[in-house]
Amino acid sequence: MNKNKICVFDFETDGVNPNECSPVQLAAVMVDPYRLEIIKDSEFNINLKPEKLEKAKGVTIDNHPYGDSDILDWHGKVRGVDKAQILDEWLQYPEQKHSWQQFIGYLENYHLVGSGKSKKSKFTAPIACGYNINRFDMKIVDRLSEKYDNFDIKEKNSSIFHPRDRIDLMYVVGLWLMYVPEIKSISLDSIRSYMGINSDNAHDALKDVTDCANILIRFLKLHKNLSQRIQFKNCFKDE
Amino acid sequence: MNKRRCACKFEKVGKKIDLDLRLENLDLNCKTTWDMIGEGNTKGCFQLESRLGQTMAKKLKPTNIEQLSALISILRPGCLEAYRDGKNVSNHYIDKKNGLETVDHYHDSLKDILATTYGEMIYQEQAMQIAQKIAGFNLQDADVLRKAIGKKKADLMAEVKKQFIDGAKQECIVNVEEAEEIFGWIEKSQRYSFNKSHAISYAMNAYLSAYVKAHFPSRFFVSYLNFAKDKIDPLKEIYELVSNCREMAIDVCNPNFKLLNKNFVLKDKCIYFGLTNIKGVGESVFKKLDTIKIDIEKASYLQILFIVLDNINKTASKNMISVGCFDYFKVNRKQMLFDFDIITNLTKKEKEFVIMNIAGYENITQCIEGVLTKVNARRRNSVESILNSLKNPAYSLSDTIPWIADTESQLLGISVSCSKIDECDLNFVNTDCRSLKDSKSSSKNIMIGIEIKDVNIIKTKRGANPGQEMAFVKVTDSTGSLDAVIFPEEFKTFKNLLSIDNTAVMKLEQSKKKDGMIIKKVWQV
Repeated sequence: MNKNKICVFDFETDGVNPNECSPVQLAAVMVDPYRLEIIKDSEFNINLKPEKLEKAKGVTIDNHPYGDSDILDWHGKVRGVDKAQILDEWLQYPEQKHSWQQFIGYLENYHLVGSGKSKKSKFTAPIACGYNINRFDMKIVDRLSEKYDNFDIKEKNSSIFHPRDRIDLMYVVGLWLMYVPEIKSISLDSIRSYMGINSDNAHDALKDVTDCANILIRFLKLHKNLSQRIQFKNCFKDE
Repeated sequence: MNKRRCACKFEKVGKKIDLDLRLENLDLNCKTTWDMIGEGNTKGCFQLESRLGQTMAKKLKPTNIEQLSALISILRPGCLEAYRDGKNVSNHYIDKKNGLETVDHYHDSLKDILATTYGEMIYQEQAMQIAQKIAGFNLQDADVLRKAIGKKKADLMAEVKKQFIDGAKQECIVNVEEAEEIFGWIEKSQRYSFNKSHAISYAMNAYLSAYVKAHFPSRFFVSYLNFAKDKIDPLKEIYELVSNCREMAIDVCNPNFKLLNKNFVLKDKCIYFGLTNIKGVGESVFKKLDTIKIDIEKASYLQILFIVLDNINKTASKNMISVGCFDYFKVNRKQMLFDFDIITNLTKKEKEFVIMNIAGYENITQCIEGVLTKVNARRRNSVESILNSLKNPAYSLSDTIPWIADTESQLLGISVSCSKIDECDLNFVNTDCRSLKDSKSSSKNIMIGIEIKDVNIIKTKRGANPGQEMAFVKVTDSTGSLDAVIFPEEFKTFKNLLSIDNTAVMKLEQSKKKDGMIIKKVWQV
């Protein structure tokens, strides 16, 4: 069976509603499904100017499109800077279109290609993976894909990732830790803390994807080990 | 004779070499040629190029045209499917030739007719000779027999049988029972016997192609590679031919844009891929390149990007960059792809502005900075974003070995610059594919680092537990490729590692007959 590369990605956004917010940072790393390690030099990290700021004119800290929202404060708190600096940085970020185009170019480098393989298509594309991507990040991916013509009209989803396979690490973690009583929450922060992963720079998209990739690799190794030992073949036969 | 497959190539190969390659002047006792055939190195040799042909040539090790003709005859389905005493006729012939089976001729009177084929009736002409000798057939009657055999006509065979038995009674060389037995044998042979005149002419052509391959391998491969596009699976054909080149230590290089060659070409003892040998670069792109008025030899990196690549279709441009056509600029391929993507974001007017001032720019950043001085306020943000992307790329633009290997494999049919295994730690490896094929390695404790190219899983028919899975595995490294087998016990243990494109270290052992490699252990690398 062919194994497509796994793209662990994460957006940092200017809002909490995935149907409306704009990404301000996009980071990704690739996982090799054979070697079960992060592919060397596969880090991707880019900023994107939020759509609200692309359209607005004469934006200042007293007059910005985020109004009463505390999103700038939240980002400022995470980064340890004031909200005026966050706004200033966002205004300097490259246009969403160009940043998105770079992400498409990046993904193209990790298609499952080689001799005897069919040409690049959505079926050779990397498998999307991330924390809570089903409910959040993939919605943004679909929205941007539709906006920039990377959308599969038939499938009604983005064509930049494999159309069938998708790994939401939050589900994986949730299933494995379902019966562990001390787990009260399966947010990335809680899991990071439970597993003993350093939380410095948490909520930086690149830090988050690297942590997610390392968690994924642990689970894949476990999965590989177990699947070789468990007898799946005919396991229902005698029932 | 299939002219396109064979004669054209000889004509092309013979153009620039001072050697008379006419069949009548050919040295039919060339040891180099016979040794090469005997090693099974017959890829590209007329009638012997299939995997079966290569294996059988290795087993039989023919040393003259008569044996080569027999080899071509026993490679046909009839012989392979005709079983006697649990073994097919092809293997009977090979074993008899190699002294592993006793040669008998059914009857002493047939000895001189069957001697050249070690007692096996391989050719239709042998049936004709037997009929002439045993049953007194004249040439016309014998030809009827040949037709009956060749066309496999049952009613005609029945008529001829009666005539054969009657004739045998008159000739009195064999008795009626023996005559019936011999005719029965002829009848059975109709399923597989081949026309000798065909076989000999095939053998001559097979030898001629092998001779050219042995003495002028580079020229041979260039011509043969140029015919790969006519095959059902051109990329597979290119893969096999280039692997064979590597095994024969012939350099094959990536396409080089400066050469501007349409097809494969031989230059400085190296075979270069042509531009149209790149997937996605067709005749129309090549013609378009011809119309671009620029001195390719002297063109700068920026000129290539703005004047050449921006004027042909995007896929072709990207594919040419990806396979290393422009490696002579010493710029990473990913960097060049990135730069190409950058310029596609400029408007037509902006590109024209850059082209007009191209002599003054040293790099693409300067080009975009130049554009920035000319754009209006509305466009300024976009161009600034482009410049920002250029100065701070979001991902590494260094070319990694797996990326190069995968991309070249997909677009050229084979990875020319490197093999995926090259980036792995291979300290404990003690050989490579070429050395193994040349038998330079010991038969025990063979450790080899490889990339898996093909895994053909089958179920065992014999042995203690028939129905178990085993596999034939094709592996490759930068020196060539190799076929190996993995038996059920080992397959069960290592099957998870035997995925196409995976890289691994394998412990191999030579088979007892020394005609193949057996996989004993596999480690992920």
